[in-house]
Amino acid sequence: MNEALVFYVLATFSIISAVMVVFSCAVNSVLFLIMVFISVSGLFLLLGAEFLAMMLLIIYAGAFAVLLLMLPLMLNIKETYQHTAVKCSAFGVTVGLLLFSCLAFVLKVKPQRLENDVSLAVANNVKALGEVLYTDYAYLFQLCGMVLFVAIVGVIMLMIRNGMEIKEHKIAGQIIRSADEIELKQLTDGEK
Amino acid sequence: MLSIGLNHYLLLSAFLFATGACGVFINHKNITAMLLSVELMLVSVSLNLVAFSCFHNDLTGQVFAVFILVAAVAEAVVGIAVFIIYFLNHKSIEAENMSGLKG
Repeated sequence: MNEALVFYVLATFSIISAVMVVFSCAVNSVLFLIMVFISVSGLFLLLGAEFLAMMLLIIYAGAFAVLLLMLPLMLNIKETYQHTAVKCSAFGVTVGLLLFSCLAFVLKVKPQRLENDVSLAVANNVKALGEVLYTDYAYLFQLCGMVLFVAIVGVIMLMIRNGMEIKEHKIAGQIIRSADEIELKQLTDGEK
Repeated sequence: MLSIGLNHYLLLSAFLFATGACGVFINHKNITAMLLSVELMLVSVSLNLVAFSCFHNDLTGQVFAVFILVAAVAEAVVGIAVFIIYFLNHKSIEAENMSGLKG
């Protein structure tokens, strides 16, 4: 009963904030995204995934969302394109409704509990997750570190601006074709 | 009030995913809002995985939710860096004007 109440409150919060993320302007939508993160981490707690809930709060709501919040501040975006055309909104809502109705077919499936007591064997969710992560998925975990490392190196390379050549598109060089790559053909009537 | 089952979580996550997909189309001129919508979709997918992992008593779902978090953060950080560089070079990040490579 209590669990159901908490679920419905968190679900309502996340649904309202998710809709507001889509339909509000730059800074507000980031703040609503933080609300979505907080309510989803509450749902994770309800599901018993304590480690992921805390990770979502610390990494997403704490660090990452603040980074996103700085984006509209740094970029000085003009609010000229706030009211997009009604046609585009209608198309987007249609796509969303179609996708939701497809995904909602899960209600047809009767889920059954599998007898696979991995997480219940250990009382501590963090310990259990660590034991799986550092044994079965050790290589994937290392690969995650590599992905983050490559992301850091890429961002630093993009951001270095003094004393080096500025990274920007050389559009003429990318779309130009030399004379020997182009071949002129006389088309007959059938090929036209 | 009914007891909360797997279906409730799946429906909620389906709704969040559909909202994110909807947001990509609605804000197709505002590239930062598109990034936020993609983040929304990634969070809904990890909610889906955690719900399955909880109701099937299998920790693999939570492990993959961790990986999704890592991938989402790496992708978004590189995206933000590209936006900032684009803004510094072109003085605007309107998605309509990003057609330089069209040829």
